[in-house]
Amino acid sequence: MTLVETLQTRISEFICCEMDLPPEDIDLDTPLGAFGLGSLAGMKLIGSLEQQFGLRLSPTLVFEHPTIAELALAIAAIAARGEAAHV
Amino acid sequence: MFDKSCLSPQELASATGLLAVHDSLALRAWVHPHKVLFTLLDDQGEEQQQVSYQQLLGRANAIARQLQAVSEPGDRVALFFPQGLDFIASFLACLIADRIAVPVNLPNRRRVERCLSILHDSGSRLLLVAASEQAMLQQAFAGTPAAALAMLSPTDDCDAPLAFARPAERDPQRVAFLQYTSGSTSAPKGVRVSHANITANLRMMRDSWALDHTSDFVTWQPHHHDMGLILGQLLPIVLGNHTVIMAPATFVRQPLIWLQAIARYKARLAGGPNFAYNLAVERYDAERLQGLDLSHWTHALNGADVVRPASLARFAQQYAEHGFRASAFVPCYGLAEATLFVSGGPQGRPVCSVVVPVDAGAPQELVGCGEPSWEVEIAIVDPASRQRCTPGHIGEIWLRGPSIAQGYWQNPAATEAGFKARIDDGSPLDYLRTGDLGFVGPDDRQLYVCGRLKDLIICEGRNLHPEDIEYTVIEALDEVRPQSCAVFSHDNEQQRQTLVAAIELNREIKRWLQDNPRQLKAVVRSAVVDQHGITLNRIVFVQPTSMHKTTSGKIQRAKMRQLYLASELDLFDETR
Repeated sequence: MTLVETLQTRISEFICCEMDLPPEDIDLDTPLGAFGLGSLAGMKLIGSLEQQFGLRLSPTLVFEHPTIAELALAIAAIAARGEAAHV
Repeated sequence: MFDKSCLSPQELASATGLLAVHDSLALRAWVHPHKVLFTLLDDQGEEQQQVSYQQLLGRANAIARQLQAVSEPGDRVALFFPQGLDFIASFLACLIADRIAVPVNLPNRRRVERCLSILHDSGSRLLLVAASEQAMLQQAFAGTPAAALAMLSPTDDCDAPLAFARPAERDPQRVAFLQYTSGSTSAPKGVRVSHANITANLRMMRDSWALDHTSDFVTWQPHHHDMGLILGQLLPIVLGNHTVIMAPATFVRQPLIWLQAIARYKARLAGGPNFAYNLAVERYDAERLQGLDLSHWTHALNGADVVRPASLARFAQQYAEHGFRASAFVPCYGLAEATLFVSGGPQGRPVCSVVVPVDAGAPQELVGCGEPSWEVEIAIVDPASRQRCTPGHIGEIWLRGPSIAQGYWQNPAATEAGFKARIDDGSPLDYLRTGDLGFVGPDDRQLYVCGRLKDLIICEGRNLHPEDIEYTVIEALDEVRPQSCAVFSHDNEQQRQTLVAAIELNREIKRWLQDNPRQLKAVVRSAVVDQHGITLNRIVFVQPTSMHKTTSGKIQRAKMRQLYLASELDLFDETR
């Protein structure tokens, strides 16, 4: 699985579990607000991804990239830059 | 009393238990000026700023002079601050200058309307605003009546220490601040909290929990919430302790920083609503928490929301290896109308619980929310007959005591109904009606809270009015005009709160559902999270015959909830 796919899976899992929604309501291109993701849950999501992937992420990412697909791409790009910086 | 060279510990405890909180600060600034009172942590858990007792007093005095130059005693001053040390200095400045403080949550995209109704209801003349937030606030209020209000930022000056003088004798029944956590968005209610109420409530917490100057805190609760303000930022002053403050967002994002701070500062008291303990378990990370020592933590408070036994058990099990003891849990009960604290403790004993039958479904385990402060009288009253219930029976929780607030700001009707209730036994005493149902355990003297008399929904420590959420749902579906909607909450099998919206079906909604159910639900969920910051977990569509209303057309939420849980609502199956 690519990093983007892993991220998509983790974000979807978080939304399913945190929002207590049936998986059939989840869609990669639906705005996150449509799942009922607010600022508190958005902050939890960012924190959880920071912890899982060892990254430092801005809480505004969820508003700037407001679908699962877009958010996964944005975070994968940040991770790639971080890797590059380490090299 | 202040013509002394020093004070004995007993004198200091008596004085801080009686004085207005800003006078207690002045006293402590004289007794131990250089002791650090507050440390602010940044979003990585690093120390960002500190303030000593003397420095906080100096800043509060400087801001008080600023206020005196531009306002009159008794004026309401709305406070807009992010979590930090400027808020508490500004709040104390209001108390010193005899201005009525009105702490307000910073408006984000969705909260502007609520800010405006609070400003209007309180009749605030002046906005005291963190310099960092001025531009944002001006933008948020542009084109509204609030744009005309004067805006002031607190000075960074710090007045030089003065010799401690006997505090001016002022009426302790004066209103100190207005706490706006009650009331719906359209009709906010500001609890009038007096100086005497604050003093009494701080003393009650100190004494009930046996706290002193060695009882250091770590707090992350926001200061516009009664728990964050009274417990997190005022109680430290009375105790003379050291308190570490972090932002609510830091906690939610990285809850382990909270636990690490508790360990690092050897804090004895820290807590939050029930969800804080869930979050700390969900995000447990053995590697990051290696060596974490929570053995100094003696007061793990759990309040402002339903205390769920499964959450306590999970947390205790997960953190036992870090020295956390289950006997440290202090479930408590309180409300803004009682300043904050009503019951909790005694500390250091195992948590009490009972199993009670509930209307629909399996019996439920309730956690005891502690014994009341000795200064509070709890009466369990039948809300219909207004007679005392027999011991151990469920009724409405009524309260009397020195920390019960005076009423709601400029709202005589709500004050009369809420604060001046009389028990039907000929007694002339006034009680506060909490609207909560509960009983006092006949054997353990614990207060057990079973639910709400009204349909108020408590979610992550916030009070939500179902009519506000229903209004949002109906507005969001304006195009297809649903007739009615019922919003209610229940706990699922995992003791997790589930929020349900039952929407009345009509032909257009049915057509939309057959066409694209996901889109319809998305519209509703987006609107609700946008307006109220919460998630509707279940959205169901109900045949009109199954929507229960009173003869005057008001939705019967309790009935709808009961039928929903018993699977007796006539629902539309959109997956068909």
